[in-house]
Amino acid sequence: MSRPQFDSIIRLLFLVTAMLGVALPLADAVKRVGKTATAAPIDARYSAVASALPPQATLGYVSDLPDRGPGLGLFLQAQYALAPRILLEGDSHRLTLANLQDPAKLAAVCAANGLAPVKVDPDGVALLEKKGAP
Amino acid sequence: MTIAARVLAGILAAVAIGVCGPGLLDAALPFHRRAGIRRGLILFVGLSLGLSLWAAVGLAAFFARMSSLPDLMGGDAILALAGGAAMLAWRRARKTDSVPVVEIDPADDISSLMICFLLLMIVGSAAVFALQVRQRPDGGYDAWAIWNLRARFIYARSSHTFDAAFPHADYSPLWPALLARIGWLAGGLSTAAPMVCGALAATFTAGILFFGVAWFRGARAGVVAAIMLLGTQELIDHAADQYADVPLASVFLATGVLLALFLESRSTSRLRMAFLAGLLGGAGALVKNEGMIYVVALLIGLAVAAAKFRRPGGVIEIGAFVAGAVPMLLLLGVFRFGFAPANDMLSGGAAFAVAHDIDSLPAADDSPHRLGASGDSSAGAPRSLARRLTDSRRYRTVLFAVLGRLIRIDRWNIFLLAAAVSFVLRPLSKQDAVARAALGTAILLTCGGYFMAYVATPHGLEWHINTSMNRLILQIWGVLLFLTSLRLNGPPAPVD
Repeated sequence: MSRPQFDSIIRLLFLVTAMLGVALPLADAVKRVGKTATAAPIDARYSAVASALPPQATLGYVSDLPDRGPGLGLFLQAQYALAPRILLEGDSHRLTLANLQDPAKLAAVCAANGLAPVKVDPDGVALLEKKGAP
Repeated sequence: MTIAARVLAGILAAVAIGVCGPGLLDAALPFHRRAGIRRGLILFVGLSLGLSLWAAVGLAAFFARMSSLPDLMGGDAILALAGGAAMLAWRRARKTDSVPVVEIDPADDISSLMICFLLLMIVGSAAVFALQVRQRPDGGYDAWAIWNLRARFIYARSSHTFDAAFPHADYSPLWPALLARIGWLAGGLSTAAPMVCGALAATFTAGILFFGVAWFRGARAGVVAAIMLLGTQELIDHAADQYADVPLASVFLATGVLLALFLESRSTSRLRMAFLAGLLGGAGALVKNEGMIYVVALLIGLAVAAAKFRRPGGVIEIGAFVAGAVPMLLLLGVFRFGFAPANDMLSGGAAFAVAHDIDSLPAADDSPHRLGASGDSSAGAPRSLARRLTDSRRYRTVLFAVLGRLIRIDRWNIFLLAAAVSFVLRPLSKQDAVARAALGTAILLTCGGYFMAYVATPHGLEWHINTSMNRLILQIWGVLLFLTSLRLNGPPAPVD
C-alpha cells in the first residue's frame, strides 16, 4: 500500500470516527435528563445574614466542621456569598459568623466562645456578637 | 447613578468594544472570497478582542482606584477614540490593495446531513449546559472560590481583592475584571453574569474555530471542526462550571487564527494583524497565568517559522506581535508587582488547593493552621525544586497521565486521540505551511511548558494532575483543532 493510499484510509477512518463521536455527547445529554437535581444558589444560605451586615465588615468565623475538607469548602462558600466582607477564623472580632452543619449546636458554640446570637437562620447560619460588646 | 447614566455608559461601552474589536479587525483583515466567512470571523474574533480590551481598561481603572462609572466612561471614550483613529487610518491605507468581494453564502456547499449533525451538536451542548447550570448555579469550585469571588471583590472596589489569604489571589485577573465591569454597568453582579459569560465563551470558541477553519479550508471543514469542538464534553462542562479556562481557550484560538492569517496574508495590512494577534496573546496572559507560556511559545513559533521559511520581514512581524502584546503585558506587570501575592508554583509553598469541587479539597489533618491558607496539597512532593526536576519518576508519572488522557473518551470523546494520531499523517496541502509551522511549534512548546510545570509543582503530583490536566488540555483544544483541520483538509475548490 502506497503512502497516499494509507493516508486516505486513515483520513476516511478519522472522518467516520469523528461522525460516530457525535453520538457520545448527545447520549450524555440524554443520560443527564431526569438525574439532575436543582441546587440552590450558595448565596441563598447566607442571604439573611448578608442583609444585616455592612459591605466593609470583617467578621470572625466559627464552625462545627473541621478546618479542612468540607469545613474549608463551607468557609470558602461563606466568603464567596458574603464578599466583599472579610471572614477570619476565630472569634476575635466583634461580630462572628457561625456556619454550622448541625444547627442544634448553635447554643454550644455560643457558650464555648462567649458569643450571643444577633441573627439566626434555621439552616445553621448565624450572626453572633461578643457578649458585652458595645 | 441614574438609569439614563447607565444606559449612556452601556452605549459608550458597546461603541468602545465595537470599534476596538470588530472595527479594528475589519480594517486589518484582508478581503476574502466569501464575505460571510470574513464577517463571521470579524464578529467572533473581533468581539473577543474588544471585550478583552474593555475588560483591561476596567482592570487598569481598578488598579488606579478610578473605577467610578464616570471614570470608566472616560476610559471607554479614550478606548473608542484611540481605536477609531487606528481604524480610520488602517482603512485609508487599505484602499490601495483592496480587491473585489464576492458575495456567496458560506453555507452553500455544506450538505444537509452536516448541517443536521451541527444542529444536533448545538442542541446537545445547550442541553448539557442548561442541565449542569441548573445543578450548579454558582459553577464549579474554581468558579465561585476563585474567579467569581474575585469578581465580587473587584465589583465592590475592595482593597482586599488580592489578599494572600484568598484562593489563588495571584491568578491573572482579566476574567473577574470583565465580570466586574458588567456588574458596574448593570448596577449589580448577579450569579447569571458568569453563567452567560461562560456560555458566550464557549460560543465564541466554536464560532472562531468554524470561521477560522472555513477561511482557510472552506465551510465544510469548518463545520467538521465545530462538530468536533462541541462534541467534547470537557468544553461544555467547564463552560457551565464558569471556569476561566474556556475564555482562555477562546483567546488562545483567536490569537492562533489571527497569527495564521497574518503569516499567510500577502496583504500590506498583515503587520496590523500581527499587532492585533499580539494584543490578544497578551490578553491571554491576563486571563490565566498559562497565557504567559502561550504568548512566549507563540513568539518562539514565529521565530522558528521565520527562520525555517526565510521570510522577508519576519523580524518586523515579530516586532509587531510584541508591540501588540506589550500593553497587556505591562498591565500584567502592574498586577504582578503591585498587587499579586507570590505564586504558589514559584514560591514553592502550596497555597490554596486547585480543585474541581469541595470533595477534592485537602482532607483534615492534625496540624494547626489558619483557614484559607492550606498547605497539605503538597503531600509527597520533594521540597526542593532541583530534586523535583531531577526525579525521573515525576516525568514518567506526567507522561503516563498524558497518555491516559488521550483515551479518556468519556471526557474528550475520541477527538483528542484522533487529533494526536493525525499528526503522524502528512499534511494534505502545502498551503499555509508557515502558519502551521508557527502554530505547531507554539502548541508543542505550550504543552512542554505545562509538562514541566507538573514536574516542578510543589503540590502532590497526582493530585495536581487529576485536578487540572483536563483544563490545561482544554485551553489548547481549540487551537489544536484549528491546526489539525489545516493539516487534514486541502484548500477548498474555487466556486466562482
